[in-house]
Amino acid sequence: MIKKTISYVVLVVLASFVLVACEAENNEQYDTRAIDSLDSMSDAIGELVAVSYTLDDEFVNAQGDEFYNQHDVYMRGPDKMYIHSVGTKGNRSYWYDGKSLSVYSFDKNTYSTVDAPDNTIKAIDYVNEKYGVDFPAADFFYPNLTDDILDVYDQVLFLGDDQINAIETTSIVASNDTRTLQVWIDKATNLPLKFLFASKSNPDKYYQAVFSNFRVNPDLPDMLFEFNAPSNAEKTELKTIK
Amino acid sequence: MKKFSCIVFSIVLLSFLSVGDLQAQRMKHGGGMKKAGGGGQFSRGANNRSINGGSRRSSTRPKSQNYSRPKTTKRPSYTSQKRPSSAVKSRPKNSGNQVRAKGGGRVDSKNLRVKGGDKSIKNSGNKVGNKVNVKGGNKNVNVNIDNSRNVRINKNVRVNGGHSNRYYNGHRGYYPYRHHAYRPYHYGSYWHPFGFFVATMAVTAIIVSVNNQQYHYDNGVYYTQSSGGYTVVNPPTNIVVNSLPEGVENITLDGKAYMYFGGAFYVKENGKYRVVDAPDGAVITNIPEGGEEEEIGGEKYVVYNYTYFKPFSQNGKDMYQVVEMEAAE
Repeated sequence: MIKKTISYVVLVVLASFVLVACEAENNEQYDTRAIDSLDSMSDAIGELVAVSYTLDDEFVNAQGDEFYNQHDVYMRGPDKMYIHSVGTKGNRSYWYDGKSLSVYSFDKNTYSTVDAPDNTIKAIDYVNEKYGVDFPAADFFYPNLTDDILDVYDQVLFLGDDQINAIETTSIVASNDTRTLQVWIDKATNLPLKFLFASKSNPDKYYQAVFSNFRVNPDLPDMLFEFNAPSNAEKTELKTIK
Repeated sequence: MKKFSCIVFSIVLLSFLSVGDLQAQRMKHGGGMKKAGGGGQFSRGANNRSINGGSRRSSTRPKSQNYSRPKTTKRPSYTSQKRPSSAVKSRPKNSGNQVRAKGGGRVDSKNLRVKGGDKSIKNSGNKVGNKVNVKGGNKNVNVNIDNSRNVRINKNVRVNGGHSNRYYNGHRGYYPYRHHAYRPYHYGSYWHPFGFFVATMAVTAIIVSVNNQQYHYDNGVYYTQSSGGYTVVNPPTNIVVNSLPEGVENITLDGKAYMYFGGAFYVKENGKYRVVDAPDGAVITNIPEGGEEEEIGGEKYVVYNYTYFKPFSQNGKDMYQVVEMEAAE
């Protein structure tokens, strides 16, 4: 009797998993054209040996508070990055030279320096996970962009052509149960032009960012990525989030 | 089993991705890297000088195909959660969706006449958050795209090619717009929005006329006589008034002086003030109640008094710039 009951429970559990699996499978829709466009964008980014761009972002939280920031981003090779951000989060810069990452607040005249991994992507990951520092549009610069999107979203669909600031773009939308991501890709360069994260549960809540001033493979000098603290600046500890 | 593992992994991933994470680094980067073997590591044999080691893709991706229409069964209803539009309550029916077309003529975008032709375009009237018909290669797609605001998407007009989409910041050169939300400005108790009805006219009002039409003018507000009282209307182009109220903004554009008040632009002539079409590129700081937000080409604009204004912030101050539109082909 006990054996029968256990067998029955095991069967029910297994059946539930199978049903969940089937349901998940049924919900997945990945449009080949969308995947190809994302791959092309990922390839275009992966071929960059240096880049600079401006990112204007806008975030509205659940309370309707609005935050705007403008970021000037410079990256060179696998291990150099400099970002200057101005906006509602203040006026600050980040320097990464392959060994350490420094943050300087122009508003407070304070800075922090932490050891960081030896490539930009790992450094972004490390600092984000340990200190909660967000980097503008970092998601787009991961080498596995398309796979990351496929893992997170159930649907990735091709919306077709659209125009952003008179630039011809291809538009992709990805969605799961909680949110959508829409990406506009410059058709001429295959670089991202705009993206929008929107919450499905709270229509007022979203994050969007627009790229501009893209410079492909510019000559960026070493000194751009080296941080020298002002003599009167106060050194502070970057707070960990764990 | 592979599918099962994938599903379990996806669930774990989704559990990390709270909605509250919209602002943060927005995707956990485990999936692709997991498949390619090694989180955050650069691919072997790839472009080692690349900023990210070169693009990588998994060989075990889920199957894809061309879709003509996404599934809509799980789409949440945004309708009840939309932010109510308080700005349009007092607007007259004929003032909301008109734009100033290239050359200064007024065009009703509900039935927009394309410059230089007889082609008539019907305004789709799409609202953000509703089903949006997306033009392009996949014409049947209906997807919730931008569900964030009660902003009408207008594809019937576009920014005039001659308009610069940047503003000049003396310290840093030309920079792109930093958007801010439309916040109606309250000029004072004497100010009334378009469509507002008053039973009696203030004693300070004067009668002015243009094109054989009489108006009552008081403190920057124009009224026409209507049944039992007076109704506020849009400032008529070319009408001349003797004075402008306090709070007028002085603007110099291309060497020409303009005055702005309550959505109307004036030029000074012989000691009086004549209403003119909004000059493209003019920057002002206040738009009163009654403006409507529209999204054009992915950018948000405020439409007021037949004019498109682009909200932007400069040196921490919220401003608006007149953007001349033209009919989209």
